[in-house]
Amino acid sequence: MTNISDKINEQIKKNDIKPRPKWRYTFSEVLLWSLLIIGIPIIALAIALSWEITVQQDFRLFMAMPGRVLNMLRALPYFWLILSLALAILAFVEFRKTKQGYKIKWHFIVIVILIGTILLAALFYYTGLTQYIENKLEQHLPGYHRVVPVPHMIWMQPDAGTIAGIIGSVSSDSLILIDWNGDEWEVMFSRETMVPPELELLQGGKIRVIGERIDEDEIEAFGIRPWDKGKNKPFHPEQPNPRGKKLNIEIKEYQPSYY
Amino acid sequence: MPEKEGSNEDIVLVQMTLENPAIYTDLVKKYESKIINYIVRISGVRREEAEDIAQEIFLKAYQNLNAFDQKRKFSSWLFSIAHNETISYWRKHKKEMGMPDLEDDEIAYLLKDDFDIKEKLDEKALKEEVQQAINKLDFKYREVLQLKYLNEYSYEEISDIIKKPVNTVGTLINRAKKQLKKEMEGTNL
Repeated sequence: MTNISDKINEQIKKNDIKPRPKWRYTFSEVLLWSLLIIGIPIIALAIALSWEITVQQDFRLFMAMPGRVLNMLRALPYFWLILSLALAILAFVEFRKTKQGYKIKWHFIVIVILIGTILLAALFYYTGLTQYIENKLEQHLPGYHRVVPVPHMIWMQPDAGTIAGIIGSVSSDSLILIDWNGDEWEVMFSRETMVPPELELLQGGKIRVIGERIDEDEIEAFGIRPWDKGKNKPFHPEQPNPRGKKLNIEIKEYQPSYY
Repeated sequence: MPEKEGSNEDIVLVQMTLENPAIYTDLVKKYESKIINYIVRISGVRREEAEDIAQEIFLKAYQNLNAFDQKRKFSSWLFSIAHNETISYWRKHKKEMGMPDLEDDEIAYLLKDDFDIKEKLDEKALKEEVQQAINKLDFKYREVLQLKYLNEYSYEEISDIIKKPVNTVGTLINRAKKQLKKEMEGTNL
């Protein structure tokens, strides 16, 4: 007859083994649930930021550029994409560790995490919260642009025909653009330049330009588009430009399929 | 032969152990042979090795006694620790493992619904064939058969032990029975 009870009793006494205190388990459980509750909005935010950056890059215009596949691959927000995926996996694993976690089928957990985060991400995106956060990260977090291909940098390739910034002044056939580095560019345009009807070229307005570099600081624009997308959202209201001056040219209807 | 454990008595023993560690000996005595048999049957380790693993299981259970949810059965909780420890030992040593050793009456009990073999089990050769068929089963199938038919745990209890949803437990048991049947098709049963 096996008798290991004496051996265990001896080990407990000899090594002074004690049951771990109850508060440690309560603390772990609370911590786990807190991480999950905080984690889901973070995953949603990471998904929304991935989407936000992708939309801001304006991939339709990328299609008109040389080396478009490479440019598009460079412009994808891998940091946020990988972070959202890693956090989602972590949330799944951690949920399975909860007291009831194993009772629920894994694909049900995956579906709930997926739907929950996508709905929340959509809410963040459509209220403009992601755009607001993205702008703040870009402005205040040193080195952010090194890990995330911020649209500001991607749209600063004059040799490839892209430039973006703030309109310094406008005339009938050109405008002065101050790019995100503070350099001035003269952007030439004509009636043939594609401009979306809703875009008013006003001093102080943010735009992106696609065209061809014709001189050291001159670009001939094929198309001009607004920089900001998704304005008039609660967290990202349209900024009026009191100093704005409407451009006195006939605006052609924007047809992206032209490119 | 099937094992069924009381629950309220265990909870009282757990509460008393938390105040007086010496009481833990009673819990160990109550479950040691069941745990050792479980380890031997599902993993095929030698009895001496199983005793070492059982010691680890009981020590782990003692250290985590405050994590035991008294709404659950103590035996399910203890077997869930045994499941984890055995699986981790089995993964490390599966190449050296022998054949899980079942008693004649255990084999008959295990197969009573599917095979008419009880009267034949005194034949030594037949017993070996059944043993071999059981040994060919995947670890997870051997385990659920053990828990369901030899320990007579409910699906919910098995779910608590192996940390899988109840529906998955049902699926595993059905698959285990099918696989066992298939393994035995080549025998004279």
